[in-house]
Amino acid sequence: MEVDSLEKELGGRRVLRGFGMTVPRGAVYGLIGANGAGKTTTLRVLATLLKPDGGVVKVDGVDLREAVREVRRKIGYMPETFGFPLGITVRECLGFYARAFEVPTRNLNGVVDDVLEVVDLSDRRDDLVESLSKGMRQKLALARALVHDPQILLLDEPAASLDPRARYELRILLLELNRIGKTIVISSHILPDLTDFCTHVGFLHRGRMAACGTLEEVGRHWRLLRRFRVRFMAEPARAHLRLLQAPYVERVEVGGLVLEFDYAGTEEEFSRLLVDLGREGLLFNRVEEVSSGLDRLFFHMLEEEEAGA
Amino acid sequence: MKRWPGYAIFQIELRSRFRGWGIIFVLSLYLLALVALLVLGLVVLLDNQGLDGESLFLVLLGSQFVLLCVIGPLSSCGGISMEHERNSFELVITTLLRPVDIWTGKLASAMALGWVLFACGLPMILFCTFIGGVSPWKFLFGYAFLLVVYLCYCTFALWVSCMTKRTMVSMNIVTVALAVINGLFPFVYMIVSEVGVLDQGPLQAWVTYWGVMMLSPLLFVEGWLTDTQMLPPGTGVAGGYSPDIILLAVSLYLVAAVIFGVLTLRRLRFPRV
Repeated sequence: MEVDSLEKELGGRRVLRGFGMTVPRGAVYGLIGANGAGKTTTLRVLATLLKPDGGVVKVDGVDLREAVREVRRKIGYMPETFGFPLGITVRECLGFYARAFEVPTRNLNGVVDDVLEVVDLSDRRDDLVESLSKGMRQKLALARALVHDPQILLLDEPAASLDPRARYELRILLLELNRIGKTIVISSHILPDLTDFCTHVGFLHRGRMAACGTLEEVGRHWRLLRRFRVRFMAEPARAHLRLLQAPYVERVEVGGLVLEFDYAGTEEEFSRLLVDLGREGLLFNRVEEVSSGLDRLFFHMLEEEEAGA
Repeated sequence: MKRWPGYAIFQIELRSRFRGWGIIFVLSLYLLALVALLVLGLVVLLDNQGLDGESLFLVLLGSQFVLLCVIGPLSSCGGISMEHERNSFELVITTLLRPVDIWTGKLASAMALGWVLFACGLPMILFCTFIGGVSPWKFLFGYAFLLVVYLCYCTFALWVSCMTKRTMVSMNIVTVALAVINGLFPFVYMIVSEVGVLDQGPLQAWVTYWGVMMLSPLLFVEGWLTDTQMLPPGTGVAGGYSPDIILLAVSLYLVAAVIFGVLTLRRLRFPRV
């Protein structure tokens, strides 16, 4: 998917100002930005819900302005807020959307069953849509986006207002969809959710793309420091000294057996550091990423936004 | 065979409409009202002129006209607005369905409801024809005219629904419009006739045909079926219910339906990519 110089004005306000991004095939692309940065507008333009005022949007080589229906065939869209027709079962609901996407009648039941299987709603297929919980409705919306087997999924804040368990399940599901070849563009405020599985990120700032690329590229460009917490089994003082000597390590803090530090190296270099620590007898039983650095960038941009306003 | 594209909408609308207690309630109420009106008509007829199939049929047709032309539009006025209210519209328009598919699907389901309501009254229609005296031509015209008016009212309700985006608002607008057309116009006509302000002149003919008869379908069809001569002689206007006038009335409602349809489609043409 290629977006170039996208312009969109809504209610007299320029929401997108020359926005551009390139989403490689098979990527999980996280769109990050403060409220009002233009994430939802971008997704709505890509989903053919809004007409772009300027710029070019190409989905798999197809220009959005020239072939809306063709683009719709290639895209599965899940808006932030949505609803379903009431008084129908889950199966009927998906059958409706499958028909609306011109899934051949002879394949309809099979497609609906397969999609329900993928989102783990098979056992609720005969339940009324209104009886589903919020998390299940979210899964149903995802199933609806998948029913015509699109190449690209556009997900607008899919984890918003979900409890931690539902959020975890959704993450697993999205990873599985990515594994089977779906390209996913996802916007979210919940940064850890994104950094866990996004291969690429794009920071939207005042309607423009402020930074984009793979997580490593963005990290390098903005010099993002990931913060880690390691719980050692003994000798925290020696571990402290060792970490201070290690490359890319900054701001080491000690709290009992737990050490926290910023790290500016790559994934590979970090793995090597952990192996070295183990080899040197500095045993640890827990490593966790406290902050990916993206949230700092996010807040930095938010501050800029507020200062500009 | 390729299916009609609006079939998806039609099917889901039917499932939503005809499942649960709502439809049972509507049908029961409709049948109760119809039977009550028919029995009332029967009692009045027996008291006055004796049992007469045609008069009873007129009572039945008039009752069906009023009930259908209220239930149909009121059930259609949430067609689009309800989609907006429950945030399901975006999920529909990002499919491959075109605005015309959405509109025809919703209209067809409204027509299906009308058909069900009509079919519920079939035993009573048969009762009237069994008594005898109902002319087939009047029978056919009566229901054909009802169909056209019902279609027009439903297209109007769908248009209001997509203009307002709030079901309660569109329901209020449709109710007021129906009350004006089927209640206020005949009432005004009655007052004008009683007072005699417009008697004996071409102005009355104009008001009769255009201001009241055409706009108030119930008055028009009942007047025609009872062979009421509403125009005094010497007005210079072709009097009575000639085939031209009937055709004109039917055309008027069909044209109105098409206009409402085009307006709705223009509004539904979204997004404008």
